Amino acid sequence: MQTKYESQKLALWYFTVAIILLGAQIIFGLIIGYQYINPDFLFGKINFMTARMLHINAMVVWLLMGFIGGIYWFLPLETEREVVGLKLGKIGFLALVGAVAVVVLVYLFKQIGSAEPSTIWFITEGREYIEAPRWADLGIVAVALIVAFNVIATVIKSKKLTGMLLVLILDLGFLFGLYIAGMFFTPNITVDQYFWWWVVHLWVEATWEVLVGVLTGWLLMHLLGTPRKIIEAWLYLEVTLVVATGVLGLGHHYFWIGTPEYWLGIGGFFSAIEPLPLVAMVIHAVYDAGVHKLKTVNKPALFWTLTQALGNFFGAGVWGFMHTLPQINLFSHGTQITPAHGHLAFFGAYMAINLALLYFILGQLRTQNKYILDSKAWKWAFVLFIIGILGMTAALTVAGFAQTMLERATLGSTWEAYNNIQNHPWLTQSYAWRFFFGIIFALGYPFLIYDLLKIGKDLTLLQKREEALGA
Amino acid sequence: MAKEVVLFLFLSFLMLTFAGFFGIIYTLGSLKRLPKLTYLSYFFALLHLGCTLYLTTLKILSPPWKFFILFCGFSYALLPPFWIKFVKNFPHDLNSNRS
Repeated sequence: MQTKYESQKLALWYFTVAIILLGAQIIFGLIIGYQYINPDFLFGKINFMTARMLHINAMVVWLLMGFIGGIYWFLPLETEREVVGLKLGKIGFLALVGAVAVVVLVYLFKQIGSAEPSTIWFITEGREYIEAPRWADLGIVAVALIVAFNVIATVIKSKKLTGMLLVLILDLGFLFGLYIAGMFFTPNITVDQYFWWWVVHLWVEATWEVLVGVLTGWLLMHLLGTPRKIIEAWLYLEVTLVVATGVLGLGHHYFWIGTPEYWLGIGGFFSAIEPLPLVAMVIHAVYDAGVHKLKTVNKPALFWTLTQALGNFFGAGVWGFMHTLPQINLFSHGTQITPAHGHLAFFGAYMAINLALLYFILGQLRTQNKYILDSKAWKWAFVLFIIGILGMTAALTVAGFAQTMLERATLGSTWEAYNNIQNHPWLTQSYAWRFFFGIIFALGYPFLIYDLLKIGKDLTLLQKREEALGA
Repeated sequence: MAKEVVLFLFLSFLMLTFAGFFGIIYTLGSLKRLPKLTYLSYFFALLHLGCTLYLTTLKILSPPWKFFILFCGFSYALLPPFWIKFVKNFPHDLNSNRS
């Protein structure tokens, strides 16, 4: 297995750790899914909040590592030279992996600390979704800076600045810059939440979307041979649309945290039109797939890319739209509709593209894209993941509807209402179904691992298949 | 109130889902030059607009928000035909210059 550039080995390291963390995300997801049915499960050992924190943090880190892996794979191809400062890149990778391991151990065995500054520095910052302690936060920023340095220095040295590289460089600036916004505390909870959302929302709905746009562009150029001028024109348009709607769409998180009332209008308006670029992406993806008649040497990469467009629209677009207006969000806020939206959106928008990238990379590496990459294992993984995520989303949506209607709109959002609704059959049955579909989803993981390990190992079979198709 | 809230959730879910179906089927119809598919897509566009109009009858929304829902509904309905024209103008020749 030979890579043309040394930095592409680093890309593989990133993807390897990313896929291991996907496994961790699934395991902790199953634990919390079961704790909804049996709250005593692992009580006192891995409490719900700890497992949930690990479930979500594992997701954030594995997706980010996949993106970074994608950058290290495509950057030398784009600049036609080895990445500058690669040793630093490797040190950054090892530091990130070491930090993740230490943070997970602290989360599992220490979990909480006293109300001292040392807790923020060494145990957890306590902010939902970005709980990492301060030292690890600084490490994440340092790694993001190293990646940015690698990209900028390589571009300068190669004297080749393409439109896609320019978008990537600008995006990386925002990627680490916005993370810093989530690292300082103020005694005012409104101000605190105001900036916390800069990381949580703007990372996910602006910088990650743009980063994925760049990586998808490179993927399509190499996978389908789509001309650069098309990719770049589309990328500029997508960046404009995503940024125009996504940045002020942030306002839907400012409805109930004590910010001025004008955020109701701004947040409602921009977040309701956020799905517009997603509809456009679906149309373009379906059109391009039709033009190419789904012919490609790498079927899993193509199908995961199509899943990205569709999943992004349904998960982020449809499930986001239905509870984004303030009149409705007043009742649905914090119900299971939110995780239903989150599960499908992250799966569609980010997991799908990471798997597409990984399949493309392994196809290029092990078969040099000379043979058609296809197998039963990837199809099993694909189908199980899709059924699992759709089932979980449907179950959580039913639970969310029940909470919105009964606990919030009928019983008036009181603690009594909250407690009363917990044993309602619509909730308990939904949680059971969610766990069932979680198991279905988890079953896709071993198929994925098996397939990833097997790619290119049986070239004779691939050759025969290609000959058969050629005939 | 509870009925209106749940109705809004359900209808807005259908509204955008139908808009998505309209976009996908319209694109396939346009690509394959199959008028039947295009007509089927119009059916979904009608369902989408029907949900949009139904949403505007809900009392939970004040008049400016009803107008906004209408604006959203028509934007999602008009996007696929316009976007397809835009996409078709892109060259899709694989042999064109890649760099």
